[in-house]
Amino acid sequence: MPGEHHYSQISDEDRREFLKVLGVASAAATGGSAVDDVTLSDLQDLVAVESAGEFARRGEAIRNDLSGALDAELLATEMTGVADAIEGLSAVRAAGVPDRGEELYAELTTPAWRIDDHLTEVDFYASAEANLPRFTSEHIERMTKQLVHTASLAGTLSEVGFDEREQTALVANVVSQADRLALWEPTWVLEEAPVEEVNPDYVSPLQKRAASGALLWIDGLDKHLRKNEVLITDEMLDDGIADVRAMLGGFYLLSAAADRLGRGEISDEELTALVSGSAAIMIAAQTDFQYDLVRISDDMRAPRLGGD
Amino acid sequence: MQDGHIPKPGTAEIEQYENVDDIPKREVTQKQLLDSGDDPEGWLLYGNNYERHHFSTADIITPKNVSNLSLEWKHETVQNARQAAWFQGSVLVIPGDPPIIYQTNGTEQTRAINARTGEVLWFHQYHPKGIVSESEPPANRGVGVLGDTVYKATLDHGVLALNRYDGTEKWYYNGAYEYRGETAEGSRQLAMHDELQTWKRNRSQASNYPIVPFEDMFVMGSSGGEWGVHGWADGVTTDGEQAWHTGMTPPDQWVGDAWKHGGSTVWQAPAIDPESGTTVLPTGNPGPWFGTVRPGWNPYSAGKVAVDFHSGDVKWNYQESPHDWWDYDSPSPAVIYEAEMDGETRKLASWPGKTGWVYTVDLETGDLVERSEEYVEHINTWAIPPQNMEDAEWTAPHLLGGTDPQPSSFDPQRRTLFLKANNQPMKMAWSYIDYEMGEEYKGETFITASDNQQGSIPEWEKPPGNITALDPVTGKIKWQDWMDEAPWGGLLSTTTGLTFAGTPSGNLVAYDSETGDRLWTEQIIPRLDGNPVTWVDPTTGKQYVYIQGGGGTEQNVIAVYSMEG
Repeated sequence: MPGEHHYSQISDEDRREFLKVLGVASAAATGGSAVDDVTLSDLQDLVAVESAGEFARRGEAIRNDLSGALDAELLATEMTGVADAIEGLSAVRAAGVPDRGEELYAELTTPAWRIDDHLTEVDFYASAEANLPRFTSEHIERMTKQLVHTASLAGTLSEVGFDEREQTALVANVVSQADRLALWEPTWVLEEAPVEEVNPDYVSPLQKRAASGALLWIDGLDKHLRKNEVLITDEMLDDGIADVRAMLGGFYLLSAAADRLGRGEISDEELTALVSGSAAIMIAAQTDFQYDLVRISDDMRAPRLGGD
Repeated sequence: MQDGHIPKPGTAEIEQYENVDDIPKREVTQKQLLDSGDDPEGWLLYGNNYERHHFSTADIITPKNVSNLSLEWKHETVQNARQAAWFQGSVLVIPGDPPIIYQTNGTEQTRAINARTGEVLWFHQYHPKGIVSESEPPANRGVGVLGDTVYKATLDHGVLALNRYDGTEKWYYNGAYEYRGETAEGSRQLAMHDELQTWKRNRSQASNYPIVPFEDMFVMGSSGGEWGVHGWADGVTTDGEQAWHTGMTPPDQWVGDAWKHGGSTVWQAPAIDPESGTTVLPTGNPGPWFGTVRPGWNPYSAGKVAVDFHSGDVKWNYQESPHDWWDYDSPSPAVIYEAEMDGETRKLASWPGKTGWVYTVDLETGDLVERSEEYVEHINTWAIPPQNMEDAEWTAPHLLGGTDPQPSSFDPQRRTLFLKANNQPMKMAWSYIDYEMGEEYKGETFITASDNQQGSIPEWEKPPGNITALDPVTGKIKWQDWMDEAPWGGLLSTTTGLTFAGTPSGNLVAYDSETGDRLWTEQIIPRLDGNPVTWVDPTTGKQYVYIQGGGGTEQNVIAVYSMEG
C-alpha cells in the first residue's frame, strides 16, 4: 500500500529497521526499552558517528557560501510564530472543516513563509543544496546517525511539543522513506544527468522544495477539506494533521539551525545534520500527507451518500 | 481577409466547389445557440448546448424502431493531409434548406457539407507555422459558428475566423503572441513567442480545442503538456481581440520558477452555464511528470477550473489528482445540470476523470457533492513510479484513463451520465535523457498490459474497456457494457432513450439508455473515434445520425444514417 509509512503510525518493524541502520543491535542494548519506547536520548551514546569530519567540512561550506547575513531578530520572532502554530494545530483540528472564507491552516504558515523568504534571500537554501549530498541510502544512514548523536535535535523538537516517542518516530520515518527521498534530487544532479522534461533552470534548491513544498501543502488544506468533505473521515484527518505537525516540526528544526548559524552557536557537523535531516523530515511528512489525506482511495473514504 | 492581406503566420488553401451557393445565407443567432439543445433540427455547439449534454430532443428514432436505421450517405476515403491525422471530432449542423454540416479533422482541415447529400461545398486547409510531430497524429475536434463566421483553432496556437458561406478568411487570432507573461516582439497578428513556434505540434496542441462562442466572445485553450509548456486560457472577442488571459499555473502557489513548466493545459472544450457565466475548463496534468521538482498541490492542474466567462477570473478549482505523477489529467468535458437534492434544486457539474471515478461538484462553489463508484478497476493506484521499469508494479487506471478526452453524454430526463472508459493496467518508470527545448518532453516510459497478462495481474478481472451509465448525483452505476478494447470518441443520447457510441471495433451502436441493451449495431470502419450527432431535417422528414472515424489507420470515414418519421 503506497501510504503505509507515516510517522504517527510507524510500525515496530520500521523501528527495528531504524535501529539496524543506526548499528544498534537490539532493544536490549538501549537498556531494555521495548522497541516502541526507544528514545533518541537512549540511543545517543550508542551510535557511532563515522563521518563527523566530512559533516564538519560540509557545514563549514554552507556557512561560507551564504550571500547575506542571517537576521537573528527576524528568525527569533518568526520562530515563535511557528512554535505557536504547532501549539495551535490541535485547536484547528478540533474545529473540523474550515468554513468558507476561513483560512485556519493557511494562517498557520505566515511566520514560516517569512523565514522561508529570508532564507531564500540570503542563499541559505542554495548554499545547503550546493554543499550537501543527495539522499542516497549511505547518506541517509550517516545523516541519521549524526542526527541521533546531536543533542540539540531532541531539545529543539521538545521546545515545540514533540515528546520523546514522536521525536524518535520522526527520525525513524526518514529511514523508512529512503526510496522516496532518493527521488528528491538536487538541481546539480539534474544538471549532470537531466531527467526528461525537467529544465534545471526552473527547479529550486532541494531544501527549499522541502520547506516551501511543506508550507504549500498546509496552505491548501482549508480548501481541500471544504472541497472533499464528503470523502474525508476523522481517521484521515487525524493522520493528515499529524503529518502537518511533522512538516511544521521539520520547518522549526531547519529554522533553529539557521538561527543558531546566524548567532554562531552551532557546530559545522551539527549544521549539516540538522539541515539535511530537517529537509528529510519535511519531505517524508509531505509524502505521508498526500497518502493520508489527499489521495483518497475507495477503501479509506467516507461512505457514499447514495449508499453502497 | 481585410485588403486581401492574410495576417496569419501559416498559409492556407481554400477550395469552393460548384454548389457552394447552396449554403443558405442565414446568420446563426445567439438565441439559436442558446436553444440548440432543445431544437431537434440542429446541432449548433460542440455538445449541442452550452452545458455540454451531447443530448438531442430529436424523437423520430426510438428504441422500438432504431433497428430500421439505414445508410443515407457515406464518404469512405476522405482526403486528409496525412494518413495519421485522426477523425476524433464532432460536427456542427446548421438548420436550413439544406442544413449545412461543418466538419473538421486532423491535420487542419475544415469542410462545409450539404447535410442531405454529403456534397462538399467548400474546403479549407491550413498549414500552420511550426512543425507537426510525426509521432503523434493530430486531431481537430470541431469548430464554432456564430453569425456568418466559423471559428477554428489552429496548430500554431491561433484561431481562424472563416466566412461560413464560402470558407474565405476574415482574421487570425494569435494565441502564441503572449506566453508566460512575455510578449513577442512585433505585431499581434504575426509575431509569435520563440518557444511556441519552436515546438513541434502534436495532437495535444491547440488545434484540438473546440471553439464555443457565447455572446461576443469565446474561450480558447492551450496544450502541449508533454512539451514543457505552461497552460493558459484566453478570452477572445468574436472580432479577434484578446479580452483576457488566465494562466493555469499561478506562480505564487508553485515553488520558485516551477510554474514556468507547470503544464496544466486546457485542451478540451469548456462547459458554460449561460445564466451565471461560470465556465468549467478541463485541465491537464502538471509538468514535468517528475514530481519532486514541483512540490505542493500544483493548482490548477489535473482537474477542472471554473472561470467567469467574461473576465477570466478564477471562481474555483477542483483537482482529481493533486501533485500528479501519472498523467491523470482531466480532459473529459464537464456537464452542467440541475438536480433535486434534499428538497433543494442545485446546479451541479459532473465529469469522469482519468482516475476512474465520476466527480460531481456544486457549480457555484466547486465543492464535491459525490464521487461515484469506481467504473474501472483500481490497482495499486497512486504508487509513485520507480526510476527503472524492472522495479515498476502494475497500476491502474492507465495513463489513458479512466476517461481521457472522450466527452460524456448526459440525459437530464433519466439523470444519467454515459461515459467511455479504459480498464488496462500499466507500468510506468522514469528515464534520464537530455532536455532540449522543442524536443518531446514526456518524462516517463510506460507499458500497457496485454490481454494475455490478465491472469497474472492481481485484481485485473474485467475487460480492457467499457461504456458506463451512472447516476452522477448518487454515484451509483446503472449499467456497463464491457469490451475488449478501450473506446475512444464521444457519446450521443436522445430524449427517446437511445444512446449512440462508436466502438473500438468500428461499430456504431445504439444502446437502450435505460438497460444498456445493444439495440442496433452497424459495422463502419476498423476503428470509430468520432462523436455522433443527430438532427431532424423538416424538409425530408428524416432524423439523421452522423459519425466520423479513422485516420489513424489507412481508412477514414464520414457516415450518415437516417430514418423517415
